[in-house]
Amino acid sequence: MIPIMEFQERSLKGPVMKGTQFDLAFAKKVRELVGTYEIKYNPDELIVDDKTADAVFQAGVELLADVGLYHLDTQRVIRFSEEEIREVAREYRENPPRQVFGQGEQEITVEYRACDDKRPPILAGGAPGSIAEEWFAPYVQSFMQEETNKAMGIAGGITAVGGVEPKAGTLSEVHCGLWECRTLLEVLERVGRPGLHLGLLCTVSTVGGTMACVGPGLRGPHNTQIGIHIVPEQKLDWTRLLLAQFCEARGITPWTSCMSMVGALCRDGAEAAIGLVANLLGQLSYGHGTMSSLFSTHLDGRWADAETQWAFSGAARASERNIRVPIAGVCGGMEQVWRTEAAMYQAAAMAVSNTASGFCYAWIAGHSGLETRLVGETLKAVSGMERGKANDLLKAILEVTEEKVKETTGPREFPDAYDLKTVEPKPALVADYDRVKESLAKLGLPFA
Amino acid sequence: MNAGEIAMRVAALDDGAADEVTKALEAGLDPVELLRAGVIRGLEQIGEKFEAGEYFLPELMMGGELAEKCIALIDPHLPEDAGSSEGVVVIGAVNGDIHDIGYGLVAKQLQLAGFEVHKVGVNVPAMTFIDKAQEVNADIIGLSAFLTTTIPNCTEVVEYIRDMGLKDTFKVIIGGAETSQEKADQMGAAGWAPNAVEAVTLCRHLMGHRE
Repeated sequence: MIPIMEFQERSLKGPVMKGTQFDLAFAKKVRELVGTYEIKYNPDELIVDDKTADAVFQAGVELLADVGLYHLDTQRVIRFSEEEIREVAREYRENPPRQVFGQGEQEITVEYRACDDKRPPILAGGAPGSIAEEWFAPYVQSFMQEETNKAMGIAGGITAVGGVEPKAGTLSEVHCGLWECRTLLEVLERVGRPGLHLGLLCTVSTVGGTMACVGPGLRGPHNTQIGIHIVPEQKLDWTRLLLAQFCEARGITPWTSCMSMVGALCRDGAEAAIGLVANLLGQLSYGHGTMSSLFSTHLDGRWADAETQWAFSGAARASERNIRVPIAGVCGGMEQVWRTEAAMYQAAAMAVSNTASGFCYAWIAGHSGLETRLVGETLKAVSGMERGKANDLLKAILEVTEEKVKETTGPREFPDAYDLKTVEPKPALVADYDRVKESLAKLGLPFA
Repeated sequence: MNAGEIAMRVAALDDGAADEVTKALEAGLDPVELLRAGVIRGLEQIGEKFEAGEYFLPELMMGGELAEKCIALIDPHLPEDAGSSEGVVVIGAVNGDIHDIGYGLVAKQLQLAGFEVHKVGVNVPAMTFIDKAQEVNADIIGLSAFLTTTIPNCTEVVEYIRDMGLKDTFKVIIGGAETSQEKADQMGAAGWAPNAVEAVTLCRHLMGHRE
């Protein structure tokens, strides 16, 4: 492993470069690499094969070795040698991490999972999005009370507490962050699961705000992950390195999270897959994380389609075969259709794709507890499915998904989906769930 | 050589465009025509190719660099009022936010559409936006925020501008993953755009241009 302090020197002594020059260097190299390794996005084969996965890994190593990471504060490039990067991958591959979260009955172990593993991934459906104070508690409870849900991958950002917005770097950020921590713990007590892992700390975003929310009675190593992630493409700043150092010092598992955008510097899913692998290796080099999320979107914000899932599959399978760090992923539909049938199909499609590509931890799984239940059922049903069969199933689900997205006029807000007093799903959401589950079964998903 | 050929070369990201500009100027072609029907038309075509999914962000960046080279050659030959832009925009990501692709793309699209754009970077304090806007006589200040916690820092810029009596001087627009028209209205911003193409439309509208 490369010691975190090594990044002090590299951040301050690496070559000076303007951000636009770095972006162009990244784009040119990734274009060259898809040619060299003949990596092509293939809409007919959405679960990437072994050969392609290995090519994506090799290209990702070369991309990171060639362009490095860009430090936004120092405007210098953090350089790696190819040998160093291969050594990082080798260390992980030869000793795949196992990470324990939660306490008591709620303890879970996140570990490496292969694409054909019969063990289902861990369902860690969190509560994503921006959440209003009025429905924060019932929203998170809807996830926490689902018995098959083993952790809260994330609790989304609170928009305001008592009319006070969480403003980054100010007292209100910590005020809202602490309110969120306490509310989450109260709801855990209410549902009888006090030891549940709470996942990624979300409302706070600055270093100071994050540190203020970690401590006795709030968040600690057993129930917290802290984001140290690079922003697209291949960029970080001192805050990410400081938080990585904080995690290391306090025994907290860093939230390693890779994102690559289709249509920006990467032209398509093939280039995004390579970007994800380079991003992953870059973060592991300084963060030393024991798991990592992968996610790809289009530049216009769309995800959960064939191309972004191909990018996920390419990178996840590259990691599964060559790095073996436990991979986390999103199984949740787009914001425009949240809590509708369309979103349930999108979540199911992602669950099929991710599971068959070797992920082990669904940290976003729908946008309500009931949808998380459906994702969990899907994860279980598809685990161990042969790649070709999973691929055909995924394509069939995506075909229906496209139609449903076109038909859907807008999202269903959480207060319209759940009764806020009883925290039970309303009949319309239940009817959608039943219809989607029945349809998925007809498409070939073997629910228990 | 003619303006149309220069437009074609700029749109094709051909480095030879600059040589064509030099030859055209030496041959006595009208510099205003070379600028408008050549370089600017080429930039428009790059924007069209981007919208059609044929070009990506790197092409916008390369096109911008190529156009700058060509304009530097034409500029000394232009009459004083020929190079007027669509408007002047200062743009960056607000304090606490380090996401740079979104605002970078908006900046590039605005440049391609003929705006004079000044990027101030990421994690930018409110007063830096205002200082820069005053320095370059900006018309519009563009704020990017991708996090729930950084949207209040957009409000801060709007409030500084109001409190400094500059509300009629600069129009503030916002964008980014967690922003919306509703949030723009709440903070008193002049507008919100969901993507780079619509940001250009918004800025043109704010500058009083008809679409």
